[in-house]
Amino acid sequence: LMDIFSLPDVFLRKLMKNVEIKDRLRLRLTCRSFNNLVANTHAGYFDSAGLHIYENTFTVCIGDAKFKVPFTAEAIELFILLRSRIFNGIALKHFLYWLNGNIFPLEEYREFTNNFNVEELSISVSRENELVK
Amino acid sequence: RIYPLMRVTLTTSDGASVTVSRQLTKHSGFIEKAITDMAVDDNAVPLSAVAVDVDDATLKLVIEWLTEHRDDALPYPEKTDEERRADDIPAWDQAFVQKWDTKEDQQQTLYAVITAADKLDIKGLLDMTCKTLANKINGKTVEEMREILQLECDFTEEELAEIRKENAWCEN
Repeated sequence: LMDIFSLPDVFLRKLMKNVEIKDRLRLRLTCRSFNNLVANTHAGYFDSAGLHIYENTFTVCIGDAKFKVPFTAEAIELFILLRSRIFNGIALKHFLYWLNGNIFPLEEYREFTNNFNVEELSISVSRENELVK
Repeated sequence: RIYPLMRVTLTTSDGASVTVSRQLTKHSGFIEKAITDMAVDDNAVPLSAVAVDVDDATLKLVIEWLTEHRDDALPYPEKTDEERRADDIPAWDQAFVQKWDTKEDQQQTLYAVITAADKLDIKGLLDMTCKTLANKINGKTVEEMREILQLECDFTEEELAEIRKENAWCEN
């Protein structure tokens, strides 16, 4: 009997570009092979995604998924690790980085988005002095 | 240049022979290349049959799909990343796949057609079957996904707990 992992690699990669982020999270839990497939495939194309830091919470929205992580160095490091476990690349038409008093250090921002292919980047500021930052 | 009246004989992996119109086989990159490699001239027909690594039952399904899609535009439009939607499967194709759902081995049939579409390089069929499987998975629970995809959970409870903990950062 054939199982899904005997299907052509090109098909599995194509399939993984057609599932939503929340489905990728659930697929991780099905078995080890899917956990690996989720980590090693591209998530496909999404119209928009965003990053928002407000008070002590770091929020990332991609497609149907919204991640909320404590804004601490340790939590961000773990979240960057999680991102590498749910896709190895993603294409975004529009990425919004919303500054709201907190600044995500440039190096960490680069690390977080290093497998993102972003067509348009917007940075939204809520105070004039954030423009300088 | 394609000669629609030309007929091509295909021999299957289980020894059957099927003769089909070139109008159908033009959608298969594999068969087209095989015919080209035979160096057929304008007036000739291939002297040798084309051997395909697909069984007779699966090839019949592929031919049924090709017959419906014989007038589809060629070359098949390359999908860009923007086209990730899976809800645009034509009604005929949906009915074609639903028909398999009445079979006990529906998943095996789908997997066989996917493998055939890849071997024969039929991009439209590969796209359609991909969307079909994505639609079966999308929005399902972990248990439902395991059932649909016929998967056995091989994680320990500790490993599952660790993944659930990471996933918990995503709001429901």
